[in-house]
Amino acid sequence: MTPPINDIAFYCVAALTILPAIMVVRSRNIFHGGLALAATFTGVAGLYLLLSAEFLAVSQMLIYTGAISVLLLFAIMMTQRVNNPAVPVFNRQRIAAVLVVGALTFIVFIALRATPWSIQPPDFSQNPLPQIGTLLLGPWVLPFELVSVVLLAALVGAVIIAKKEER
Amino acid sequence: MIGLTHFLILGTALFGIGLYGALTRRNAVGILMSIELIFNSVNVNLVAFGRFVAPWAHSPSPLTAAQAAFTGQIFSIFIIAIAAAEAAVGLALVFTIYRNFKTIDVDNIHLMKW
Repeated sequence: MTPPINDIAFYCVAALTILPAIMVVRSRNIFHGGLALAATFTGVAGLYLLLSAEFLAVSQMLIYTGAISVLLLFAIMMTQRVNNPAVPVFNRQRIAAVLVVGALTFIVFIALRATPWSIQPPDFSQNPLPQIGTLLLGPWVLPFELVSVVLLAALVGAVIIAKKEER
Repeated sequence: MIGLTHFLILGTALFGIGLYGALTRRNAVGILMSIELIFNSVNVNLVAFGRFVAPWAHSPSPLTAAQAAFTGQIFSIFIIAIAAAEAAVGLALVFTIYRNFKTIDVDNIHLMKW
């Protein structure tokens, strides 16, 4: 039913996801970080393809890589006056952040390895796209409609916040 | 054999990287980029659970088994939509801050500090 996941494919897509993510948080030039973020989103779309979530993979590419990355790059270009190498990029909390994040991820790794997950393959016999459509307009119709209200509020709010003040 | 723990470890690593970026970046847009990484790690986690663990296998629910298999993906769709809304509003705030302070270095924006 659900096909097994190829080892090489998983490790290649994982590398495509993790290495640009490290570049996002560590790059001195934030524009390079924005481009690496687009690469990370593409890697995550590849992960969705490995997890038999094709509709989600395409949505991820359209929304994240296609819209949010471009929005972030626009914001970077409009809020940088000069790409000055003397401007500090990282604050003084790097050591503490490395320690805290390292401890957190280490504890979660141990918990993940030690937990006996009850693996049961789900029923993927149906075609996913009609099922997702039926689910979004059936049992999940309330969050679906609320998300449209949230998007409208975010759109109107963003326009009002970013508008120039009129004298 | 790639199992559930591989994807969960990958999601946790992505979360840790995003958290490190959110804690150490000085540029406000850089912080927003790291938060987007955190959103993506959560999405990977949800879809991985949806793919490997059949939901509601032991409890009664109005969904059929074929419908409940896509619960993780439905959840992720909503998270993508909310993350897009959050990115739009966050960047509008960044533009306003840049217009007023002429900088988006979060270490220099400390009007509310004593």
